Amino acid sequence: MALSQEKQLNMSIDISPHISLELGEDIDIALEKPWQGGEVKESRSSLYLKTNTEVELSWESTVLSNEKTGRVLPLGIPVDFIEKLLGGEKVEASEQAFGLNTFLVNKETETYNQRSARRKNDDSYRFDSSVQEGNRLQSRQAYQLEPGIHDFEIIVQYYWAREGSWSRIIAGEYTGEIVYTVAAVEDGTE
Amino acid sequence: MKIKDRKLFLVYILLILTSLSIIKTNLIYAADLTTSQYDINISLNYPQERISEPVEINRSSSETVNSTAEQNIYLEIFILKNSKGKEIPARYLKIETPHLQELETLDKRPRYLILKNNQEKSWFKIGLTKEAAFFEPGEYTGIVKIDDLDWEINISLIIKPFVSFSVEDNTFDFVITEPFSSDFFIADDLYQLKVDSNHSSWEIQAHLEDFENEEGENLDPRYLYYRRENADRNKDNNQLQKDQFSNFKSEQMTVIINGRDYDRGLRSIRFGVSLAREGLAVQRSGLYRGKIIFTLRILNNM
Repeated sequence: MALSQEKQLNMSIDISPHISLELGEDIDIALEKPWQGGEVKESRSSLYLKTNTEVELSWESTVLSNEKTGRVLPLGIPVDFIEKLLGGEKVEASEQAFGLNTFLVNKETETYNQRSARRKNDDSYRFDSSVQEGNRLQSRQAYQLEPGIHDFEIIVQYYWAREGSWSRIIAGEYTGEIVYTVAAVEDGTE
Repeated sequence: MKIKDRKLFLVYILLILTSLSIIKTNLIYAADLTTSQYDINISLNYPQERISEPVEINRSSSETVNSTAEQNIYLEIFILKNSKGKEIPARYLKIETPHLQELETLDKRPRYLILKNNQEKSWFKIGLTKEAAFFEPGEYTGIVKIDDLDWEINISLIIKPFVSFSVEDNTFDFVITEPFSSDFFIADDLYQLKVDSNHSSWEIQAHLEDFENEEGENLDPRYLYYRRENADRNKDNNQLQKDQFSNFKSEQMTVIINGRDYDRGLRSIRFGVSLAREGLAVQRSGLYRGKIIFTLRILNNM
């Protein structure tokens, strides 16, 4: 066999940046026995994110409001209060009636246990919220994610007071949304 | 001497003279024309038009009074054959003479004027079209007959094996606009490899170099696929499946096409890219630039 001739082809493969975001089922919270509070409960859903470019993930909820009355459900109990309760810390009874927290846990990298919820050393796999203006939740920051498949669990924790303050939660159906935003870091496309 | 004897003698003389005349005429007829060479040798080692040196034809001046001087001299068309009997038809052979306006293929007329009557000198050249190089390699021989003369010119053509490799374009752009719509993407355009050859004992190997994007991220060669196609194939690309493609290998030469397939019409390459990755990984977006080096190899089994 003898070497004969050689040609070179310059090839380019242009892969466009792309983001795919899928959310799981809606979260329904029912306080069927509002007088039996004093315990953190939670509901779950999922967030599946596939991206081939670096992105920032953030979210913000709307207020939870009663469509019929227009009344807004106050989220007076701070997130830290719920966290401490779950951590087994002793906390003084809240004067506020209701509190809500939501965060994302990466299913592949962290096993979350409701009773021993702790932030792992690497906080990047648990993305937290804070309460804004006493009635909305917002991600604490825009969380940066590398290209890949990110399979998150959305965890919504809620707490209402056991003492007499529970009666300040006006009965009715309150609805709202959590809007998740994923933005490419480089070019700002969503 | 008696009158009877004289008559008989005259008849003998007449007969002898007539015989001499016939013998002499035959001798002149055979030796009337001479040529500068009785062998024409041509060799072809790639597609090119070849033409022989001029073969001179001379009429003997002392014999111009004989009967052949009164006639035009023609060259009859001929063919070339190899030892297996395979012919190179007259349309691949060319001739040039002073009586033609230009070089002409030998299939245009049954014979070609070389020497006009009373003309003493002339010449002709024998040539080949470049397409003749595509006949099976080997020796082809033939005989050039000039009119009814009994001498011949032998012609020998040696066709040597050759392969010539070229690419129509040295760039190829593959754009994937919806990278999550599928795991496998097929280029719309075909890439053409052009190989001129008179045999099929060759292959083209390919290997990939440096597929990297602006951020230094690699696209591993094993995710780049190819398949051979007939350029006339008129099928919907959506009907193609990944398992109809082969992939390149890292740091390995891949035989991307060979002479036998090329002869079957499989002369184009269709590229594909797989974006399927294991686990949670994805191929990062970006413009990956790389090189495919094609190397032609002549196989020994010629």
